[in-house]
Amino acid sequence: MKQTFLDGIIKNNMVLVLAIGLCPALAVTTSAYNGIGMGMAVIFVLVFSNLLISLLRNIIPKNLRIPIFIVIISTFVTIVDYTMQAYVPPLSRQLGVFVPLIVVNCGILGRAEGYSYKHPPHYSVMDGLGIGLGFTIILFLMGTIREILGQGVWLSIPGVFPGFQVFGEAFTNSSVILMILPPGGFLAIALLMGLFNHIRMHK
Amino acid sequence: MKNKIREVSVLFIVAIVSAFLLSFVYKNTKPVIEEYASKTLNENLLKAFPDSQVHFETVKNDTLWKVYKGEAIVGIVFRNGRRGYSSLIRPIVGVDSAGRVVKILIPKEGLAETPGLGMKVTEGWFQEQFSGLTLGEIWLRGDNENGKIDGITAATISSRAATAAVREGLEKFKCYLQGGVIEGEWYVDDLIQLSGVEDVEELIEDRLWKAKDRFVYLSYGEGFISQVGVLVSIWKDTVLAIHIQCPEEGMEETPGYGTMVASIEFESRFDNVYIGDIDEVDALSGATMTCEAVKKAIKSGYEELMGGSE
Amino acid sequence: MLQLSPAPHITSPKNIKKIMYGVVGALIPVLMGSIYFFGWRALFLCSLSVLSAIFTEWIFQRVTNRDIRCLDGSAIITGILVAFNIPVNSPWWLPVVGSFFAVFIVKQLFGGLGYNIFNPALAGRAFLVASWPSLMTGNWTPPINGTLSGIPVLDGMTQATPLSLLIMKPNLNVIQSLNSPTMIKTLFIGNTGGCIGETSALLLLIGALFLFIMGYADWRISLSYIGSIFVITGIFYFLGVTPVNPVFHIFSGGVMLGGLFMATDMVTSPVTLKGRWIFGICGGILCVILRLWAGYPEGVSYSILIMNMFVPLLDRLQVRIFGR
Repeated sequence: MKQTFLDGIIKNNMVLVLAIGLCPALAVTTSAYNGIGMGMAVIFVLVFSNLLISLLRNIIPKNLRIPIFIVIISTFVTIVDYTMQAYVPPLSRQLGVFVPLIVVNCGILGRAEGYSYKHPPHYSVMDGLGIGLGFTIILFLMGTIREILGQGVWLSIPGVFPGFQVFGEAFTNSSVILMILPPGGFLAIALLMGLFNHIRMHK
Repeated sequence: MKNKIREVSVLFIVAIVSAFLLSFVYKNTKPVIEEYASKTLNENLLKAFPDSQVHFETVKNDTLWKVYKGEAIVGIVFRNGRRGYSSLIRPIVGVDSAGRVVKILIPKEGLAETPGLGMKVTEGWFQEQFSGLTLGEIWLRGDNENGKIDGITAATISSRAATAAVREGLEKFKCYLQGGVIEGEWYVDDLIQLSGVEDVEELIEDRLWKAKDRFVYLSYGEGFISQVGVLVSIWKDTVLAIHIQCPEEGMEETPGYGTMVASIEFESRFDNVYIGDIDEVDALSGATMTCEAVKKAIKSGYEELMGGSE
Repeated sequence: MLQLSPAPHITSPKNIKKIMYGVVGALIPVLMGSIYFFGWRALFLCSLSVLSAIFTEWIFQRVTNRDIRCLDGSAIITGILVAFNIPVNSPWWLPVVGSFFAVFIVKQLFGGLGYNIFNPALAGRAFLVASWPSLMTGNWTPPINGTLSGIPVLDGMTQATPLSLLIMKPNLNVIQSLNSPTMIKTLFIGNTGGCIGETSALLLLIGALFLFIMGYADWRISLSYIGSIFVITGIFYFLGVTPVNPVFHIFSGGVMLGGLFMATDMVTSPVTLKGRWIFGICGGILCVILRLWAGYPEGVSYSILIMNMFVPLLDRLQVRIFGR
């Protein structure tokens, strides 16, 4: 079980290894806080949809499994969406359309089809936690890189906390704007992937 | 057969459970979401009209509010949009009873100008320049000799659009400050703006008016979903300006597509166009049907109303 | 289709050094011109940029245990060209960061000299424009003995280089001045506002002529690039699409610098002759489109960068035709 969890974080890392779920990873990671927020939403959906699908795996008919998966996943996504709109509205506005789009995140449907439909509930939950956490960590790292370089601050939360000044005010005033633009997302993901593969190859 | 019924019933049960769950969540979160929205709106309105003793009354949703102190109207707050460099810049503007701008607020939400350039319109120093200005002064310094606004270096398009949104909104909505409220059909305030004068002579009821030097007529065209109303001011054979019925005024075209025609940007394409050249005006992509309706409305109204008056 | 066939790999180090220092030599008159026009700060920024490029290359090769080749001349060229692409008024760190990005991300991470897909200096410029747009596009200084727009009459009216005047939808008076022979002469000599190394068409042409004669750069690319810009803007001028004449178009902005020194970069241009013609002509078309209809006044850098992406394809296309 522990192995399932760890595999989810490293060996099957959603962004760096499987290269799925890239769309939200590129789009929302303009700050570390956004990255964590998106990651949390995905963890919630992934754990619960994995659990439910695994519990129902003997009842769900093979022919109709995809529509049933989608209904289950979209239910949890909608719950997350409403809850975020109600209780963390600034974050919900920042993530925008990418919260409802978790429904079509191929990572989640992929885990349902590839893992939880074939494994018992406790393993499925562990897998969901691991994969979700791996996703969150990468989003957090990307957000960190982009926010620090692109805005000069770290861990800022809109309306609550302005963030830590990392390199001083002079840098904040003329930060590398490219990093919070779309190309910055591609750069950050490419650098992380390269570094990750380098470490894996030389281990 | 028995197997199929079993399969479908599983899907059915999952869907039913899901629906119940969602309606439960919806019911519980909806009041919180709405409360937050109205709180933010009120905060924004107060930022544009900072006075703790006033309350706001909505005239047009998301566009126009009247500001009351007790029973008396002390000003208005409006929101007007103008296309910037890559998105619609929509300042919220507070205006006092003398027609002076109290404060403006350009929210970051929904704004997609270039970070570090156009995005600077959301910075305090840019917005503070507008406070206390009257209609004639709301221009960039380079664009008009009375202008009092310093543009943003290397972001002229965005600063010009923000300034124009404030100016044109003020022009459009200032009638709400004088003589109380204008009640009536959707086009009443636009009629005054298009005529250039306040007293117009109604030639044909609800169709044709005569202002000092021009005629204004109202015409409808068949759009993609609904009738689209167009108000046209015309001098001889040349369209001076038009106003297209917007969604707040009851136009019901596809949101985000057909409704896009009701924008100052599209309306301005008809400024000073000869009536015979109306077909040459570029349509908006994604809203071809609605654009055609607008053009047809302009032409048919002209033939029907102006043709006879010669 | 996705397989990249990298550009020619020049294997003999001696040869590389000779060519690279030849190009550096060709850039010297332009550098001297820019010192004359903009003062010693031009040299200062240029040196910083070159030092940053060499240092980045040295560190990278050191850390990754490769042969140290940071002085083979290619980093120097990148450094000079990055500095040529920024306004003289820039803060000191701008060329440093630009050269770092050009050498580290665009050149070394793709495998070093010969393997990079994009021209490092141009990608460095694109990076700077996207990151600090106000410093890169709104920070012009007039040359020491001249005016920003190149036309004395207009200088009180507006703070703009000749090209940014054009995008402001100027009135007839301004257009007439832009089309005047005085204007063309000023542009040709280079006594106008602009990036450090892009203003003087004359000096750039002298440098490029040396490269062509020595065979270090291919005149076909330059001719097709600048020529197609001339022809297309000429047609547009007669059709009334653009108000200024084609001579203005090829002498203003970065057309000369880009067409003579950046598009001709051996690593990022096609190997075959036919490919080079296509490369230049398509680049010219793109440049005109970007210049007339896109948001920035200039389109040279993006047009060449976009064409850089097609180089592997252009090479393959050619090979296949020969294979039949």
